[in-house]
Amino acid sequence: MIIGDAVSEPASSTGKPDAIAATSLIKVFGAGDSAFKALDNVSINIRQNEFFTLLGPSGCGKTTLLRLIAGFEQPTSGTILLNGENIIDLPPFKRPVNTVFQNYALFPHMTVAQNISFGLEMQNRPKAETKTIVDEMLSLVRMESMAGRRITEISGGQQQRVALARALAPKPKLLLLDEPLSALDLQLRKDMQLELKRLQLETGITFIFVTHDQEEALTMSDRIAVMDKGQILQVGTPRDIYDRPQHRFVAGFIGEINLVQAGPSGSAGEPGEYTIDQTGHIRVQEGKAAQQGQSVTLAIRPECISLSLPAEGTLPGTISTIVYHGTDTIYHYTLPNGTAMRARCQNSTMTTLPFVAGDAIGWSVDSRSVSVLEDK
Amino acid sequence: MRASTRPLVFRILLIGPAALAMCLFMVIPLMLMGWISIQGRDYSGGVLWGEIGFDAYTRLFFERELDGTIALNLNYFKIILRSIWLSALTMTISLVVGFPVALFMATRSQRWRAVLIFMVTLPFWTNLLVRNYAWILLLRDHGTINNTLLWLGVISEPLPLLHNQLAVAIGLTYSFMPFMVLPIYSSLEKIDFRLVEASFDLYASRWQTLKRVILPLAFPGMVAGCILVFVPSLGSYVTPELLGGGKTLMIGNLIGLQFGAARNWPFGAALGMFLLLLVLIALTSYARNYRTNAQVGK
Repeated sequence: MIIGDAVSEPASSTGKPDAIAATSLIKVFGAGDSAFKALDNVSINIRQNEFFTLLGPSGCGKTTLLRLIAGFEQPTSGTILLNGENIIDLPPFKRPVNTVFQNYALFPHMTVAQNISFGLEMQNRPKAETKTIVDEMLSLVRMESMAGRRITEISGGQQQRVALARALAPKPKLLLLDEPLSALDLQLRKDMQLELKRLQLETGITFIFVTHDQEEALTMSDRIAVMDKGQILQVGTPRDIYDRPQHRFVAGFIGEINLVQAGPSGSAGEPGEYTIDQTGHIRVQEGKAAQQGQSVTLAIRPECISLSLPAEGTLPGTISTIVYHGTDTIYHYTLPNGTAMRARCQNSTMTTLPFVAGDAIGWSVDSRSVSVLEDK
Repeated sequence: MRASTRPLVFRILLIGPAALAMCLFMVIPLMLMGWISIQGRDYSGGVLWGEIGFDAYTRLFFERELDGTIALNLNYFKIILRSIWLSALTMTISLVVGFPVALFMATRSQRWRAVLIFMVTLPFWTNLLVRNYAWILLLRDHGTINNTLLWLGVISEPLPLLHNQLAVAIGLTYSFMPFMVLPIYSSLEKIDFRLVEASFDLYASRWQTLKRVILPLAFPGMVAGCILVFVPSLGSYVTPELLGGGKTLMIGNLIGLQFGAARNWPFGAALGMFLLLLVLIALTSYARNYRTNAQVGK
């Protein structure tokens, strides 16, 4: 019996291919001296049904990556697979991918319902089916009563929902969202964040969401890719990204963080122990330590630091400023080597710290809460 | 707000010059023309004042036989129809040819656009008469086009290019094309081209995008362009005179004839009033169209 055939069968029966598998994407705009590398060798895998966020400052290449996936731009080199199929050569109107544009790009000469049905009409779906889906979408985004309104007659938040409904109506394999909430005011933005999450769960469609707002990224995403200067620095769950940043940029971009230079703890030191100049030893969790004998930057979240009176087992510092923030208080202090630090302590009657500016204190941090950053 | 608090005299002074000019050069001549059209005809030119009648208007469609009976005469009506037909043809050719030009211009970079607008308006630097004579040189039996085709051996006899309706349509299209291109360009230029991306994103091909997104948004410009080409075409005089020969009269030439060789001023004035009526019909239909367009957006 020949059993070789069974072996060569793809493994897709066990797991579906990634929604997006991009490999070695490079995108260069312009030529010669004015050439600008918007994407620098980006590879990324986005899983099925994931709420995936591309996070980074403006100009980091996140929108370029989105436009490559949508097909509005062609990569200089690299491949993009959608559900395992190469889509590089397909024009945007042949990709089963829809986009929610930053400015919504709703058709001003059409009504709400006409905008939503546009994609379905272009796919030549039967009239009855189109109508059913449009009604379904209208109720999904709670715009039933606005079906006949013109785009110019509805508010920004409503336009946002129509743009979502229009992009979801053809049931794309992938929904791309290009900073869709940036034009909304704070309260509306919070509401829409929940709304987006709900829609993603209800439709089961893979979302790729582009934002520069770290809070938005943390609250909504299943996974986040942090980008800077055309590169992806770190991919992980919001908790990974926040608790275990691997790059100085990622640590600084998301939330507040203390960065402390530290050296190896001498030949006698245990693995995972570092020395902060003139201050003392600090332990990091095993497995996180960099190569033996290397200088590193340690990243410590302000809320992970415990302050006390100087004591055995604590590291020394001097309070410089105390800033009261209502729910918590920020203690600014300096290490003997001059490094400025911040500790965030929750305010409760039980734990009011008796410090004033100029006091010598002791501080400590759990070894699990210290990240070792690659200096990039 | 502030303007309304100014004294009335001041406001009258401000609009005075324009109102006076309109009155002197438009309202009064127009009334004069209307008045002449209902006067009696002086066979030696001019009018017999005071012999009020509507003979000039009946002449548009009827003629008085020698025995005094009135019979239908469609000769003038034919000229009017031909004028409308040629203007409509000019308008259609201008639209079909002008739209791609405008679309091309609107999708260039800012610097190129300025150059292209300049090039579109370049013909205006030369006198209309000179430009029409240039077309005679191109179209006549031994003009540039026929000579080239003869030399190439494509034809053995010169093609009859001049002194027919085609020649008039070509001349009018050439003259009025910028009036079509510029309004369409200005409405295309305002389109947010991210809408085109959105259309592509929603599975519309290039052709469907043109039909469903770009054309509807450029519609006001297209209508404006059509009016701006149709109206002056309808009243054109120089082009049919030079390129049409004697066989292709348009209303403009007919009117010229009545005040000249035919010495029938009232009839000329009546034709002028009729032309005005045609233009008014065209403009009102545009206005109505535009309003429904603004409401329905179709």
